[in-house]
Formats: sequence, C-alpha cells, structure tokens
Amino acid sequence: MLQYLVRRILIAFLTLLIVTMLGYLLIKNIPGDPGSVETENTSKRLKKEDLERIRKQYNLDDPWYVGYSKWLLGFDVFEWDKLKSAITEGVDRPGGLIHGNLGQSISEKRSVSESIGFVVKDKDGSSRIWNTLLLSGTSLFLAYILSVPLGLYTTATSGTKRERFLSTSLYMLYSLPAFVAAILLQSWFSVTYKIMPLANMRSDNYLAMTPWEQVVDVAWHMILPVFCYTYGALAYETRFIKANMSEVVRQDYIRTARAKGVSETMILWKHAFRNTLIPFVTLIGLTFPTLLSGSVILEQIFNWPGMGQLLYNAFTARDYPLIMGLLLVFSVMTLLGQLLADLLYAWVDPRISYS
Amino acid sequence: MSLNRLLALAWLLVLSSSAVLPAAEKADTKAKEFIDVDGLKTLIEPFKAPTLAELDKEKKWLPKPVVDAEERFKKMVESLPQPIPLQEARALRNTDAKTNEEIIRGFLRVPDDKLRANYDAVINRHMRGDVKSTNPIMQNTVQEFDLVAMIGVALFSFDWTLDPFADALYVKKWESSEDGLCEKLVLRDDLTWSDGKPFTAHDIVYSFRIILCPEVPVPAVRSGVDEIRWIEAYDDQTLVIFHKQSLATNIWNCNFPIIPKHIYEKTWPKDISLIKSQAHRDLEQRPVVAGAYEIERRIPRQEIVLKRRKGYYEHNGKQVRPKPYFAEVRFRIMEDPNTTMFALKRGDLDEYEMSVTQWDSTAAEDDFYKLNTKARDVEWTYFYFGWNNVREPFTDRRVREAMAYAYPHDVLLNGLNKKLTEPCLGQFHPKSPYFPKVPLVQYKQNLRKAAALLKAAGWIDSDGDNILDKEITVTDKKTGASKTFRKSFDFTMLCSNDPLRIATCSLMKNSLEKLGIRCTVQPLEQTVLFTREMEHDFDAYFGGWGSGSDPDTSDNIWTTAAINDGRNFVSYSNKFVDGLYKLGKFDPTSREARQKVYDEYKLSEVGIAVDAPRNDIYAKIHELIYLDQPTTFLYYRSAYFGFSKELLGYHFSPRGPYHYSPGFSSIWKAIP
Repeated sequence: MLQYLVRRILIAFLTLLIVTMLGYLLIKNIPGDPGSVETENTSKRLKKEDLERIRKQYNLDDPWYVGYSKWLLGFDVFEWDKLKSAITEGVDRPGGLIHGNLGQSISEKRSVSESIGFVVKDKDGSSRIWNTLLLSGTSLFLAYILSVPLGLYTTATSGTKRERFLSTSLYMLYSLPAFVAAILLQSWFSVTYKIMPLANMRSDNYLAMTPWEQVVDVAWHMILPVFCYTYGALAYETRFIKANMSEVVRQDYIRTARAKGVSETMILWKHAFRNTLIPFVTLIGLTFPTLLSGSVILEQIFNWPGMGQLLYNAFTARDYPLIMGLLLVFSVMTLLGQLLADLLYAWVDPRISYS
Repeated sequence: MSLNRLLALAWLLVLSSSAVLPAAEKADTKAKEFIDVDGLKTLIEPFKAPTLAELDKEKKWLPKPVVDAEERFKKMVESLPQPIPLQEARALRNTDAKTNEEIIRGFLRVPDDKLRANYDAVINRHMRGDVKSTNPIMQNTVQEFDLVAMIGVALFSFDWTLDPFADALYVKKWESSEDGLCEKLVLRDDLTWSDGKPFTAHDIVYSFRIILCPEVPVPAVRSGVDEIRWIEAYDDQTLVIFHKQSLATNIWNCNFPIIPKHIYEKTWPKDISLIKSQAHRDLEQRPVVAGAYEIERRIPRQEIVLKRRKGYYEHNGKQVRPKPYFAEVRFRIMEDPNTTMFALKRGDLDEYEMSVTQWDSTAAEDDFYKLNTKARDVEWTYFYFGWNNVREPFTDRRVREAMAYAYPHDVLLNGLNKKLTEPCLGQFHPKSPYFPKVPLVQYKQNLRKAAALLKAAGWIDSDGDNILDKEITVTDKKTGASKTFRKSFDFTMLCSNDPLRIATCSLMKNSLEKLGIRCTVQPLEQTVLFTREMEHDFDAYFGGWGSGSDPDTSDNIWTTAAINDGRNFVSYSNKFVDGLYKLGKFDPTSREARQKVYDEYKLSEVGIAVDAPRNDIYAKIHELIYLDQPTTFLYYRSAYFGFSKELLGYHFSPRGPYHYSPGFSSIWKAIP
C-alpha cells in the first residue's frame, strides 16, 4: 500500500510538472499581456519605458520556458552561470514555487498566496479559498447526503407514481440552469418578499455582531447560493444512484437474497448499494476539484468573493502569476481527487487491493 | 461641497492624455533617470529653483481663476426656469425626451428654507468592482478614481462646461507667469489631514517626487506629471510649478493625486513599491486623507464605508468649507447587473448606472418606480467603425465614405438604440466649443451613392460571383517584387463580445451584402480585441472613445505619431491634422513656436491663422477628419442612471452626473 502511495505521489508530481508547464505555455500565448491591459485601462499615453519596466518586472519578455523556470525555481535555469551559482550557492532571494513562493499578483497588487487566501493579512479580510469551500463544501455534502436516500427510495419505489413524480421533478431541476434559478430566487425571496438576503456573504452590521451572530449571518447568506449550487448535483447524483441500482437489483445474487427471505431494505442497503458505491466513488473523485474551482456565474450573481470570480478576473487581467497559482491549486485538487477515489475503491470493494 | 472636484481629477487623469511634448518627440524621447537625495531613482532632473523674490522680479504674474464650483452650480440652478413640484417629478415615469427633461429639472434642486438638507443622511452608491488600492497615487480604474474623489484632494478641477480652474476649497490664489512656464499657487491654511496634521505645499512636492520615481508602479498617474520640470515649496502654503515648455495643456499635468509627506517619508524609502510592507498594507485599510470623507471600514469585495470628516469642513472649531451633505457614504461592490438592479429596487442602493437594455426593460417596470426614478443624458463618448486606413480595401477615402453611406444609421439610432442616443458627426459633440461652425451633414443610408463610390474606386463584380472585386498590385517590401491580382471585397469586422455591439455590426454586414461585399462579424474578448487593435491587426472594428477635458487629448487618436505610440489604431495620417495638433498645444503667447509649426506644416493651406484661438484649431481638425472619414462615426452614447426618489441635485455633464465639479457634491437628501 505504501509503495503504491509513493508511486502515485511521484506520478502526481510529474503530472503537475507537465500540467503547469503546458498551462504556462498556453497562457503566454493568449493575445494580450498585463502591459496591454494596463494600457487598455487608461486613455493616457503610457511611456514605453514604463511599459518595459512592467514587462521586465513580470518577466513578460522571457521565452515561455525561461518564464516557467523562473516561476518554478526562482531563476533562469537556461543561463548556465545562474544555474551553477544556484546549485553551489543557493538562490539569493528565494522565489519560485519550489521555495513555496507563488509570486506577486499583478492585478491584485499583493502576493498570489494572499489573493487566493492561503494567507490573510488584512484586518476584515476574507479568504477566497475559504469562501468557495464554504459554498461548495456545504453543497457537495448536502448533495451526497441527500442523493443516497433519494436514490435508494426511487429504486425501492420504482414504477410507482411517487417514483415517477420524483424522477420527473429531478429531471426538471437538472435541466434548469443554476443562474436562471438564482435570478428567480432573488426576485421572489429578496426583492418581492424581502425575506432573504439578496447577495454578499455578510450583512452591513456584520462587524458589530458577536461571533455566534456572525456565524448565523454567514449561514443565512449561504442559503440561496447553496441551493443553486446543490440542486443540479443532487438531481444528477440521485439519477446516477438509481440507474446503477436498477442494474444491480437485476443481478442473480439479489434474486437469491430475495429467495432466501432477506428483507427488501437489507437487500437494497447491504447487497445492492454496496455494489453501486464503486462508480459512485469515481464520481466523488471527479467532483473533488470543483470544491475549489467555484462557479463564476453564481459567485457573480450572489456577489460571493470566491475562486470562480478570482479566476475570471485573473484571466481578463492577464495576471499570469495568479492564473498559474490557481492552475496549480486546481491541478493538485484533481490529483488528490483521483488518489482519494483509488483509495476509496479498496475500501468499498474487497476485491481491490494495492498491496 | 467639493468631493467631485476630485472626481474631476480622476477623469482628468483618465481621459486627458498628457500633452506637453509633441507626440513624435515623445516617441523618441526616453526619460533619463537620476538619483535623488535619498539615493532613490527619479525621473526629476536636478534643478536649482530660484528664490521667490528672484521669480517675482523675473516673471510677470497673470491672475488665473480660483472658483468655488458649488457656488457656481447654485447660481446656475437658480438661473434655470422653475421646476415642476417635487411630488409631480417623483410621480413621473421616464418614457420620452420630455418626461426625461422634466425629471432632470424636477430633481435638480439646491437646499433652501423650504427644502432643507438632511445632514444625517446616508447614501448607498454602486461600485462595479473592488478597488485594488486606496492609495490615490495607485489609482488606475474607474472605481479607484471614484473612491479617491471622495477621500482625496485635487488643486484643479473643471465644471459641467469643462471649464478648468483652481479649486477655491484648497487654493487661495493662482497665478501663471506671462511666459507660461510657471504656476504660482497659494494654498489655504485651514485644511488638515485625517490624523490632524496640516495639509501643506510640502505634501504636494513629496507626492510629485514619489510619482516620478520610476520604480513606483504607477505609469498612468505618472504620464503627464513627468512633463513638469520641478515643483518648489517656498513655505507651507506657497509653491511654484515649473513647466518644461509653455503649453496650453500644462494645467492638466499639474492635477496629480496628493498623499501626506509626514506619513510616507517614513514608509516609502523602506518599500518603494508602496504595496509590500505591513505599514503600507495598514495604510491601505485606513489611509490618512485630506478629502471630505475618510474610510470607516472596508470589507473586501463587498463594501467600503466612508464617514464625513470634520477636519475637512471645520478648522479650529469654525466651519471653513461647506459641510458635505452625507454623514456616511457606502460603496456597495456589485459586479452582476441583474443583482445590482435588484439592489436598487430593494432600496439597498441609491443610485446605479444601468445599461440601455435595463433602461428599457427592468427599469420600466412598476416595482422600479416604487422607490426610484431614472434619467439619461448624452455623454461625449462616441462610437464608430474604425477602418484600417493602410489595408485594402480601406486605403481609399471613397471606399470609407461608401461604408458611411451603406450603413442604416436610422435603424441603429431608432431601432437598436431605441432613440436614446444622438447621431455623431465627428470627434467633438455639436455642443462642444470645438465643433466646427461649417455645416457637416449626417450620413444617411444611400446604397446608390455607396455603389457609385465603390465603382469609382474600382470595385466591380468582374467575374459575376456577386462579390465586388478589384485589381490590386502588391509590392514586397523586401524584394521589391510586384504582384497583381484581383481581390474580392471581403473583410472581417471585429467587436467585443457584447450582444448590442454584435447587432450594431450585423446591421453593417446585412447592408453590405446588398452591395456585393462580404463582411464577417467576429466578436472577441475585450483584451484580445484591444491587442488586435494595438497591433493594427484588423480590417475593421467597432469601438468607442470619450472626449477628454481638453481637446488635445485626442492627439492620441489621430496623429501620425500615435500610430505606433498611441491609439491611432486605424493608422490615419494627415500632415495638416498633425500640424494643427502641434499648433493647438501652444499657448497663444508662444508666438515664435507657433509660427515655426505653422510654417513647417504649411497650415496656411487649410485656411487657419497662426494666431487662431484653440477652439478654431480643433474645429478645423474635426472638419478635416470628417472629410477624410478614417472611421464611420455612428452615435454618442447616453448615461442611463437610476436613482432613489430621495436624491436631489442630480445634474448631467458631458461626463455624466459625477465626473465634474461639483458632481457628487451637488447631490443631497432632504429632511422628510
């Protein structure tokens, strides 16, 4: 098992290296750069030397492989002298991912770690990554916790009116785009009836609240966005479980269990569902990265300062260091998700062993 | 009140391109770097300023206007015809031009004995995105300008007619030397920073020094300020600004943001970037300011709350400036247009600049009018089709004019734009003093004329494929070899990824099909579009441009030098236009310099006198560009504002209701 883990982690590092390298290459080839965005933002005629200074400061004139080596290692690995001195004397000012330094965000005017929210320095500051986790984590938890009983229920009641009603409702929910639902919910609950907050994470008087009131306040603001985040996934996962269960319950060993007089609940829970868990675990692995990627549209609508908004703004600003930082986070999450899924396979399926 | 003199500063900085050196010289001139007294890099060349006595002896000083913009505004309002009663104005629905006028006039009021200002009122303003910095020197986006306008100080401003002046709230006296090379300012001594320290001339000198340190990442703010030769503070209140040249545009370079010397002289040498040290990070949260408001609290990406500052309007217990109308200003940060409109409807916002689509849909519904009303007015921002003047088929003026005749202007103005915009006849608005006195005719769709112009330019359907074509000869610049072939009239029109803009371009595409021209509309992400424009990598594009506070700002668009060093994306080149821009920069007193430019560019050929006033020079530029049709001018956009029925004093300038003096400072709420 340990050997397997070590091998997977080594492959993960290699994958990360390739993904970030390709990512850097692609980003550098998108038309426009931070200098052109700076020019675009003002109607003034910017001095060429000022633009050159920006380009130099952020290594914009470097070929992509040099820029990538600086992002990764903190120095230009293709310059022999620098490489030699880096090996023999170390790097003067530790930079680069290898030293835990994700660089300085161009558009946010602070470090990438701070922009993403690994580090919170400002008073009243909030962390983008935490804000997104709050929504997506709650949403994923709710989707999984509700989809299992709903999936089992629809399997158990298959062919009945109740099951058809539930399945049709889930189909309808699945086909309703989240942003449409968000606008409708805002219109009804926040504008017409004024019983829910319209947007934002906190109320105006948040800072004057006690810690407990602050928790309740944030939870109150989470209701509409979490609902919009969740219902699509809930519908999909419920249908997923139902579809898999429908296959499993037709297997011979289920028929045998029934013939032996095992109760229907026990058959569904103990015999059938256990076998459905394998594809379900794959699904968990695939959805793991969405924990941090956020949703550009929902975060925009609910004014929720999360990772989706940050990624969108980083792209429009051609903020290379920030895009790379985010790419790294999402890649790590994807790889972790895959690893988690593989480990869970062994847990849910005794036939699988990594030893 | 004066906050929006600061907005004026903001927009000066954004929209007034620096103008001191002629463009061609700018392109060739790389600023030298020097070392200042603290051993830091600077773009300020060492200079020994004469004493004030020497200056007074040497120069003849001419008085310049120091204006209380709010007083001027009050007089303007009082001179207007009586408005309809407020209750009636509040009940009106904005459905046409007449009701729009009635609403604007109905809400345009100044406090009096009957309708008194509620000084405890709070206003919730909309902000489209969070600010990256609260430091006035770091400002670069509209949001940052809006914030700095509330918390900062600007010595110069302009009113709703774009007339520039020194702001009487901060300046006691302003004089210019007769030779146009120096400005002498005497500041008022009754303004303090939010930490209680006095605001002095030394703060201005120190801010100038920081801005001109090349390692401070503020290229936009630095542009223009770097044309100032030197600033000398002779005492706490008196300072002289030395210019490099005597130019009519010098005033705009003097209007830079000011930060407190006593704070930054301790922190800046340790962190030149102004963003990395903890001291600067703390200042970002609670900056020391001299403006009417200070930051009370800031929740990133949600809100910035400002509170009225007593040290601004009171000095030693005595009121010295008008008290700002609002006790608290809350900027609510909202990016999504639907959510923002909902917030306005709920009463969470008091004002919001909406889109034309919202104006006609959600802002026309009953629930909008419960708490709000809306008003619009034309801004001096025009939209156009830009043709690549050095790429076939648009090198020929006749082809460009054919495009103007081909476009269904009426369908755009009355259909797509719902009669809410004004037709555009060139870069200056007809109400601008720079608009030519000669009559210019608005192009109307006339496909016959368009076809005739194309035929005259050699574009015919020679092969019967229903697409016009023409024999073109291309010469390879490297080898000198020529190649002749028949080129089809087939081009791509770029535009940003906005439904209204795509529709505007599609109208052109549909019209051109009738003429045998194939046009492909290609929507692009904004930065990709801008990059293509900067690289002149296009046949045609749809774009917009806002007139600056000074007409010289447009030299960045139309001069030959701006092709490679500015925003002359269409590569338009006319030596008379180049010469006129150079002539217009010079102060009328600079006769020698004017004569030199006049002779060099043979400007007598375009019928302009060497001593012509600036208005005439820019009107001639407008006329020449109109005749050349390097772009097809389409329309001036409007500013569409929804605002709470409680808000009074809304007035529109060519820059909208905020970006002039007094702007936001004229807005107030009455005691119920």
